[in-house]
Amino acid sequence: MAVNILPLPNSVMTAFEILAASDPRACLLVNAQGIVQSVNPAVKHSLPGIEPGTDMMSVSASPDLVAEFLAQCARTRGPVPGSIVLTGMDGEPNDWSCHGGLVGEAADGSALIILRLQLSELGKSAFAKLNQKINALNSEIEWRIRADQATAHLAAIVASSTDAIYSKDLDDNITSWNEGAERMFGYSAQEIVGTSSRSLIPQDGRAEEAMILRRVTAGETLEPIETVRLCRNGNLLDVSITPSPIKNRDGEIIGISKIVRDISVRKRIERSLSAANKTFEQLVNNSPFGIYCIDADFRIALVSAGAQKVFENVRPLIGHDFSDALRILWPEPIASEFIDLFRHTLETGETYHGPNTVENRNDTAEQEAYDWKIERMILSDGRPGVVCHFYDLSEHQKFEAALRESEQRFRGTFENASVGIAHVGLNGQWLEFNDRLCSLLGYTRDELLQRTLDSVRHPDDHALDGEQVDGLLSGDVTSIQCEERYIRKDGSIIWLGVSVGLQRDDADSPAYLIHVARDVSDRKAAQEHHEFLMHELSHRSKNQLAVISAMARQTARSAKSLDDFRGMFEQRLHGLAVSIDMLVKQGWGGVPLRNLINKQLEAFKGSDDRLQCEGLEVTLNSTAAESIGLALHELSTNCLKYGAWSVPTGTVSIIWEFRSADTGKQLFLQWVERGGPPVIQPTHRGFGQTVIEHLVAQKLDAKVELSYPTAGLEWTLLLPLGD
Amino acid sequence: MRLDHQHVLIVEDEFFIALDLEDSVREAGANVVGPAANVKDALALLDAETITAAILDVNLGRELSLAVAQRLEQDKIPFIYHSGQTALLGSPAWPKAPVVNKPAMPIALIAALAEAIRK
Repeated sequence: MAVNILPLPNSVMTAFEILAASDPRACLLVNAQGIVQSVNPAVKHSLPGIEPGTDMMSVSASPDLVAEFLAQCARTRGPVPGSIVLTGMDGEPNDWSCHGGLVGEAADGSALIILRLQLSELGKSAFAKLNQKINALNSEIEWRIRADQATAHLAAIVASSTDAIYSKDLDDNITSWNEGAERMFGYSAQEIVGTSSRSLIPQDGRAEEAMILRRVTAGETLEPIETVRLCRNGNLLDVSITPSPIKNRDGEIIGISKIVRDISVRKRIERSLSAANKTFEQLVNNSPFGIYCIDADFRIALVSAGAQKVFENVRPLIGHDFSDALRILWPEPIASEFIDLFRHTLETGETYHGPNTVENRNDTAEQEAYDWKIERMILSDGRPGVVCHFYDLSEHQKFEAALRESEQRFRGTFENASVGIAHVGLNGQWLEFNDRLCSLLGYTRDELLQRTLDSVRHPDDHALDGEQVDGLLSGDVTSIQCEERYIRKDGSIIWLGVSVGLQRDDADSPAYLIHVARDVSDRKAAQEHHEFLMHELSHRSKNQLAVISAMARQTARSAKSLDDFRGMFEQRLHGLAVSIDMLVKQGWGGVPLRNLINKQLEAFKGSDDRLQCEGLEVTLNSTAAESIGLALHELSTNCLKYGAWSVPTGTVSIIWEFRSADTGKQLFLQWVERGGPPVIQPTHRGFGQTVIEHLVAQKLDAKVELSYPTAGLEWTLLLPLGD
Repeated sequence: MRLDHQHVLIVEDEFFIALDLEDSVREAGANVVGPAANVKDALALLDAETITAAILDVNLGRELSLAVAQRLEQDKIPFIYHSGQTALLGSPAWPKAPVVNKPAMPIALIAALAEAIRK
């Protein structure tokens, strides 16, 4: 554009600038040729194509009209209204109402005209449209700036997120892939963007993924979904996925973004928690102890095997209202008391311990005793509940009582047994023995503890031999019986009948030996006595037969006739029989002298006053009794025939006493006859006299004196007393 | 059966049997030495008297006659045991000699002694 600005007089320029500066209308100072000399500030906005130097003809669609209007203004004094068409800032020709006025002359004498321009109504609407367009453009620019800022911000967030964030289009192709995704799945953005997202989905997750896609595209907002994704290395990963739609500016869904969070740690914890809960429930359920759990709703949640019996009348059990269950089990007010205790613990977490609760049951009417404890704990549903542990004291007490009774019975049997009982370990050491065994062996308990059974057994009596014990251990033999001698503390021998059995433990292994010992000394003594008697009987009977036949022959030698022989022999046989009879009655042990005298003389003495006996108690052994008996018999026979008893008044006195001699103690025995016929010493020495004088002397090593004073026969015996 | 010229020691503690043996031996023509009722007396008689044969009871009440039997064997004097307890002679300590069981007939006893002397 050619610039043709005239040098203006200062006064005109100054007047224009002052007049136009604050005018909201576009004001132009032009010369008569239509060249713009100056513009006010409003022109820059409304007519940006016009500046000093602009030819008005060139910016108007109708330059002729402009030239005519300017010519009219130059001719006229005062303002001239008119209208011109100018092209404004929108590039469109607009109608402007115009007031022109001549203000002076330029240096060349041409007119200077001020034009005040205002858009006509028509021009205003076009301008408004333009303005609207500008505003729209401005707001777009502003939106873009903000959008760019937000995008940058979002991009920063996405990039730095530890979660995997990726997006895909509706054809399942991945369109973005952040660093978190690279770390989580092992694929770099470069290799995965543009490929199908199916590589991330395990075979059995396809249907689920299709469902997610369907629901997201249908406009549903989805909660995070917990599922499994496949990593590049083939591992399956527990993840939580939050899908969101991606829309364009028009609101159309063009893809899906996914925020993927690694929840494998949480899942692992959840699984172990779930396993722990399951284990806890199994433990409780299978426990032989009394355990049950009440849940937060005060319902029975778990009951151990050991607690089933308590609740046998509560059906159904699991899920049963616990208050109701307690009222089935216990009468009021106990039930309510228990309910309050459980509720208190559930609400406050305070534990409660009932060490010995004894009550009568409501349902069974039986008295039961429990030691129980309740405490609050989190149950597997994640809510607090109450766990009750209890111990059935009544069962325990019954068991204890039975055990005590059994123990007492055993103790009683063991300690009061009439037999000695010992438990002996397989190593031969005592485990236990009773007092009776101590008394049998003559030791105190402490003394016996220092010894073993083997050490007090008679060395000649075999201990249990190995074979027998093997039999016991193997079970082939149930017990061993034997009779053995034991040496008591005082050195004396005791015969014990011992029966040995084996005690096995719960595992049926040999535990220890049980010795039961009874005193068989008496029986042994009786047996020995019996053997002695049998032996004596055999010996004596043979001997007696020999003695009797000898006696018969001796009697026959001195007999005057057969009748005489028979009389004499019978009497002697009788005398012998009396002594033997007495000995048999005394068990061959010995005969009291006084009894022997009475028996032997019974048949001869007549009345009691014809015999006086005086002496201490003395017992004769069998040999002495037999010999002295025979001598007394012969003395009596003689006395009846020839001596004191042959007349009515004669008497016999027998006295005996112990005397001391150089050779030791002696028995002095004297037979003295008085009141009989005068004694004449016999000339013939008969069998009777031989017996009286020699039998006792020889048999008993005794000293015998037979004398014949006239007053009466005297027979004196001095018998040495061995023991 | 006669025992003429024999000096027969009788060892017997049973008085009546001793008396009877004495009579039987004497009736058979022999001289009786004793009877002795115990070992001590019997050994004393063996020391002091002429003895050519003996009748020996085994059980002398308080003792057995083993020492006498051994002495008789040592002196080579024929003898017989006269006993009711022949089981006692089972022990090898006892010298071998004929045994006559008690009770015995006197004639059997004399015959057994004569036989022992003859051998």
